[in-house]
Amino acid sequence: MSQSASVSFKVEHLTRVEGHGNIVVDVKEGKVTQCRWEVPEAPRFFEAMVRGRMWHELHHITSRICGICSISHTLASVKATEAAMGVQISDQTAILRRLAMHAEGLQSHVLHLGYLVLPDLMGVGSVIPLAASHPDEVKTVIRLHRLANEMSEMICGRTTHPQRLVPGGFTRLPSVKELETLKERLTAAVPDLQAVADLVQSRAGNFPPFERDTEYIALVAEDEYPFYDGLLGSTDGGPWPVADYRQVINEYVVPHSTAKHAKHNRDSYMVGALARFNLNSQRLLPLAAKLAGAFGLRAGNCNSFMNNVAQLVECAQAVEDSIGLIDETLAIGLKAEKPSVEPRAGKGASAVEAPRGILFHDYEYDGDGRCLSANFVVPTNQNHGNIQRDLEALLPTLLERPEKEIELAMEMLVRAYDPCISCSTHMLKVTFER
Amino acid sequence: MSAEANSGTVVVGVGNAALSDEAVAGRVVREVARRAPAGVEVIDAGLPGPGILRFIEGRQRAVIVDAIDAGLPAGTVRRFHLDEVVPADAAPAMSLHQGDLLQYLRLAETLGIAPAEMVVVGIQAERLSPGYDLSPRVEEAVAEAADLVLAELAQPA
Repeated sequence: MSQSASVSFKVEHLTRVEGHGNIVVDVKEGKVTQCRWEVPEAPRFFEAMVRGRMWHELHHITSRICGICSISHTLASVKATEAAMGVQISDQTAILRRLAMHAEGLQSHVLHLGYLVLPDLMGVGSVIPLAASHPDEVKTVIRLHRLANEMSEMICGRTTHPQRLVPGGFTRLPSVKELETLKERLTAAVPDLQAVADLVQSRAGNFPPFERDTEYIALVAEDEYPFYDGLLGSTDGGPWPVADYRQVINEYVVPHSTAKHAKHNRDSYMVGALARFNLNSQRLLPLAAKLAGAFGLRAGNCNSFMNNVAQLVECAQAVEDSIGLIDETLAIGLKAEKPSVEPRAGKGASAVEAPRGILFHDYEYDGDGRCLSANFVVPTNQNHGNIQRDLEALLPTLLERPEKEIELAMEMLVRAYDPCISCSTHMLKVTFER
Repeated sequence: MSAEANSGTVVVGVGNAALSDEAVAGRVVREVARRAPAGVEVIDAGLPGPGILRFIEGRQRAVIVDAIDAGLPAGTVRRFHLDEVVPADAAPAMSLHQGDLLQYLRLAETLGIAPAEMVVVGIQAERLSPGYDLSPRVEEAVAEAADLVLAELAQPA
């Protein structure tokens, strides 16, 4: 397309993302007149839904905010309740919760990379043609996904919407035998991970060399690459206590989107794997660090497409760290513990690193343990503003290309954020052969 | 059939329990679980997305139950194989749970990990608004769909 030409398209209900989002582009005679990321999903009112509910119900209700990251929501909820009621947890509980976070992170990232990103890199429309051309690689993805799901079941009692994670600890522990088996399976999964990494790397040239200086926000910690706990960090400042999150995370609304946007130091920021990597890469374990090195991914990277690679690096981190956590647990020995909570009035905020980025839950309880108010700040909402700014920066660099290529590059950019716009479902649409 | 002979058989119900008729498969598989021959595994999978693959991989036979939109009268129960339906032309429109269930089943076939015998029992839905009750005609179809699944299980694999 030449600079003087015009292009206009609307990608309505972008595919291979969670929920509904539209990309609206209008270019007249080489000049961009519209470039917009729209989220038309209906609001879901969870904050109102939990008001008046008891402390022991909140993590089960809020788990339902997301079918992919229900473990993150459960743990953010449990931690906020514990913060409000001054509940202390054991080291064993903290370790097992970290394992739960890794199970979810691995599951979510493998799904995103294997089913939603690889088709873009391989130049096909979905994983179906990929299964025909690269059956072994797709089977590897399925195997890794299965392992992550079964790890969730083992630690949390279920793949989705965990039952065993409660304020104060666990209602039921995995057995020593289960943990030993899990460790063996995680160890055996390393070559599978490498195979996926090799495939992504062979096509990494298809990620556009796009860069835009960006603020990144994620949990930070001195002694680990944190998913479960830490301080609130930013490439523009901090760290701050999570309890002060309202001073850092400023949510606002825009007319063309039902989802809130957020900003801190600039007009937008990014959360997710690349944000975590940029703030914590020096604390990656060897396997993950090696993988990052193979892709040339270094702290300070500001190419949003590389969020996909950061997710891959985090898969390796999840596997390697889980093996170490299991060793630690088995060395100390599993102990039966009874979660104990004395409800009391109070306020508490928490944060965890969900697969798509930092997630906040914030509650106030009355003396009976009834929820008076709640606030949730979810990762994808924090990213909407940054997706918009990225699209605005990317579009002018693409105008020489055919319209289909422009469209694809912009879709790939949005998909790189792995946005989880909603959790809804649609029944099976069937047309019978006549 | 003996429990051993049934051990390769799985019945999987798919659907969102909070969207009225979308919940019908969950109701059907609960009924099936009460009356299923020994050895048959019955799973209420909720919204498994590609997770459906791990429930069917390595089995000899899978019966998948789901609400369908096939333009039939509400509550119509249809048993069909994958090759009897038109592949969705929106093939690229694959997300983690909007992803068409049939696409994941086709994926399993393409990869050669699908059960040799795989059949879908679909129930035409009417109402999909948030809610926990089935619409009357879909409610009536629960028993019929369960009977159809059980008849399927009574056939030799």
